[in-house]
Amino acid sequence: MSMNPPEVIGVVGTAKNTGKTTTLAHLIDRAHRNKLRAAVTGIGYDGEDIDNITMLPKPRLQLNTGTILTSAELCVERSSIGYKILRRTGIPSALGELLIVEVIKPGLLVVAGPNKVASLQTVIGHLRDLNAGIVFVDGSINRMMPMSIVDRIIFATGASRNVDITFLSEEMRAIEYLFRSDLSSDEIQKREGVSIDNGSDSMVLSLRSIIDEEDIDMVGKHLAPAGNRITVPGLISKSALQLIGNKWTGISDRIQLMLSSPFPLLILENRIEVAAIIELLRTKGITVSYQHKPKFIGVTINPFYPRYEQERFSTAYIDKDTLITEVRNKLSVPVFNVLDDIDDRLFTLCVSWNDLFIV
Amino acid sequence: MSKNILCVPLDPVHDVGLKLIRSALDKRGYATDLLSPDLSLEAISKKAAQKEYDFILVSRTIGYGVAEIMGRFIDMLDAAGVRERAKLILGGKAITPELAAELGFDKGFGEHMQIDDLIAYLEGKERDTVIHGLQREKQDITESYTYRFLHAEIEEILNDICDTLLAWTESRYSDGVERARIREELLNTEDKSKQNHLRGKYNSLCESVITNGNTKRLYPSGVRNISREELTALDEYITSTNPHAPLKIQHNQKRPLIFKFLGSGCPIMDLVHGKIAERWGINGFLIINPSWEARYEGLLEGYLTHENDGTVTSLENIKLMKRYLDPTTLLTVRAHRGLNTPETVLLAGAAGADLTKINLVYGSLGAGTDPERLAVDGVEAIKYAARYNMPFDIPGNDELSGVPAWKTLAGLLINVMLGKKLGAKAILKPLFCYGPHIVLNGMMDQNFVDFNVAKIRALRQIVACPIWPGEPIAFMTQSEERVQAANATSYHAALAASLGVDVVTIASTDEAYSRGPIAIASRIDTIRAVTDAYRFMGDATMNPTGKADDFTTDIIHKIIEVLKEVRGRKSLPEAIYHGILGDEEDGAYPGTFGKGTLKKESPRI
Repeated sequence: MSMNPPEVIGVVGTAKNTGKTTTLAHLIDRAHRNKLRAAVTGIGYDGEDIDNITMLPKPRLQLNTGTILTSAELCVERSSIGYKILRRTGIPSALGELLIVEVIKPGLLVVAGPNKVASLQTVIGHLRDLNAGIVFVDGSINRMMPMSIVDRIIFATGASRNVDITFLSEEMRAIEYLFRSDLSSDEIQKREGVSIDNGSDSMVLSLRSIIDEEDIDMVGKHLAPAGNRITVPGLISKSALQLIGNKWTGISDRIQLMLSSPFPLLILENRIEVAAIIELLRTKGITVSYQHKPKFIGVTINPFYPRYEQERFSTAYIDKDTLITEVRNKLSVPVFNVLDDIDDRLFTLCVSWNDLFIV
Repeated sequence: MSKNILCVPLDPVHDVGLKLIRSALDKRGYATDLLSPDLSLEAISKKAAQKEYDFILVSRTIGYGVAEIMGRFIDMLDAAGVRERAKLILGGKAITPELAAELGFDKGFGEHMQIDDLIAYLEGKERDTVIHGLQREKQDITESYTYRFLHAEIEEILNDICDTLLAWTESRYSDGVERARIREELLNTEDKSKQNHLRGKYNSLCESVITNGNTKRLYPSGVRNISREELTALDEYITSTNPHAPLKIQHNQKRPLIFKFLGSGCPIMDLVHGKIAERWGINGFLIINPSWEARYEGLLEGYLTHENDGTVTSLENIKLMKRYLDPTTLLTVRAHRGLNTPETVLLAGAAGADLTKINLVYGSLGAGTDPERLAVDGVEAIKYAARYNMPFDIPGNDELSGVPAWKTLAGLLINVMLGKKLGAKAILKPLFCYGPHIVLNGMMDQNFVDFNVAKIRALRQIVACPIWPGEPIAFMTQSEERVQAANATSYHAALAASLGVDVVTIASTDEAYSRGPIAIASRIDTIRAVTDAYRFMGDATMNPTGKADDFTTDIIHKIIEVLKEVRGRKSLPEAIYHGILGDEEDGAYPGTFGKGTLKKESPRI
């Protein structure tokens, strides 16, 4: 099996310990079995044996011969893999320069990758040059923004995020909803500031994000009565989303709010509320679309959570069958427990051109 | 060009650290802005985007759930366009480089960050975190002491006692003295046939258990050679370990220095503990040897490990310690009891040890060496100490058996005078302890300060000599609880600092109750406790009650009485046999090892 160029698959978590590493390990293993040369990078630091906060044991990342890996110099040196350095990236990290190495003896290691979008783009460029068959980008904690440049994305969620199964399934439904908005088919010039195109006029403001009332009013001054497109290259806050429903709809009856990707919405606090606000805005004539979005291909669940009792953490679980059933009931994308589902179904979604399950 | 720095206290309460850092940065010319600690992540992102910041300094204490907040925060800075321009730095008590990387920061600084580390990072000059050596100077404990006796009457009595003793030992010698002389010749010859002759002679003066070890490698139970592989692994470990920057225990370069015991039985474990303790600021170590080493005639040779308490003090083992400990770390080899005291001091000197430990009185009491034998061997040992210019400390641990303090101190003073006559520098080691005699007589019913102070004041009124309370301080005031044990040590160390003594020996928090090898964490417990005590005291002093003066007068008076009684006897050994420096009622018994082994004529080697 081979593809050119390689698909870039991101694995993100809704919280720490939701199963990113286990999902990634499963996919790397599947790639190896399918003779597809896997390349792995991260957006932080993952795969350590003891959690940096709870001090509980964590799953380790086992890498086979031939795998290409990006990690910080210190992590590579401390790993049990045999390796040869393919490239030095010159990208610094908190644990030394990021290196691209090829595994020549299987072993365990910790992945520490670039922590910002531009650096991740550079690393992915290197991995493509090195003829990787597929590129996996390991998430870090609940971080998402760097994933805005991957091709396909898998979400890992579970009890570590919240032990309330209803919350978990509702949150995943909200995430899926936020991914559902349209991509813009128009060629949009990338701009540093918020831009407003009202049909007759186009202008770029000196602000990049819309955070508070002051920002909303500044944009509002330039809105035409109908047919506005507002492009926000930066952040939009939840309180701003709540306010624009009243403030802008009084000025204009049709607004397209163009965001760089779904991630500026996904990083806001309480995604269930954010999805509800977006739906409400749609009913008021404000629609959200994205300049780019990865294909949302699946969800993995993890019933484990670290329970805090008597000033220490211990291992605990919620009911995995109830969890997977409830999440499946709420979503269109497939949901997996990678510890139970040992076949190629999730992996196939990473490499297939079939968009059957893709939102 | 000045760098713009935004300081962000993400913690709702704990923004003090960041304020201190900001103040330090301002003083060095950086342009800093400090946000209030109550802003939302979105509001912070807006502020961060409004100016071209080069660095964003975030402080936050870490607990469960905080990682996710930090993850969202970084994502927001990313979305707001700040991430591409500014470097993000995280600081806080529990922050490690790994945690900073996991949370998406460019750099993390933990509790032990120094402002220079941060400045170096801001200026793009990463500081070398591998600090070789301890960045300190080797200390001479005896420096600045004249050894002048300040109490004329006591000086006169001690002169008489020591002159008599030296005359008494003149015509006597022992196998211990002879072995030391043979070993000295062995160290000085390369001639193989002469070496063989000397080895034969040496072996003929040893007990079979030692001869079997040295000739057939049949060692006492639990002893074996350290393998070449183990020595290579030790070398690799110590030379390839990247040590953290060393800490200092003393505040403002003040004394007392701090010593700890080593003596797990395994020199490799001793060294690993030693290297770690060095980085926490320890100034020196005393090697504790196996109790059986003192009972046999003769010493084992080679790199040896012992699976029970006590590290064998062979020449090779002492050299191993000196090779790997920092050159500024002081090493004491104890030779205060047993049948090999002259040879032990010789080997310590030859191996480059800094100090040794000799006490003709305490070494002869309580399961010790026969007083006559130790008198002869001890005088010879002091001569070796003088030859190698090694100061010797005089432990006063007989007080722990129940011997009254003044008898113990009288014994220490006899050793000081002997050292002076033989050209060696002594160090007084009165105990800071809650000894049985003190308990029975209520000297510490009111506090632990007055009587300990009185011992130091008494000694200072008698002789100008370094003082090293031991051994360890806080003896018999520590319980099995680690916190209590660390506290007890720190209080006694604070008292020692207040008194301006030169050195103290401290125990680990599990020393009395470990039921096995000492844990390194327990060693660090007391080092940290004492560091804080020194910082707390600084140049301040404790104020003992008037009772300390009464105790001081009483102790000096009783020391004179004891010394007069010793002088009234034919020799020091006879005084010890008669219990003048500690009798059965005090829990002290003259030692029996080596009894009847003295010889009249000096042999020809």
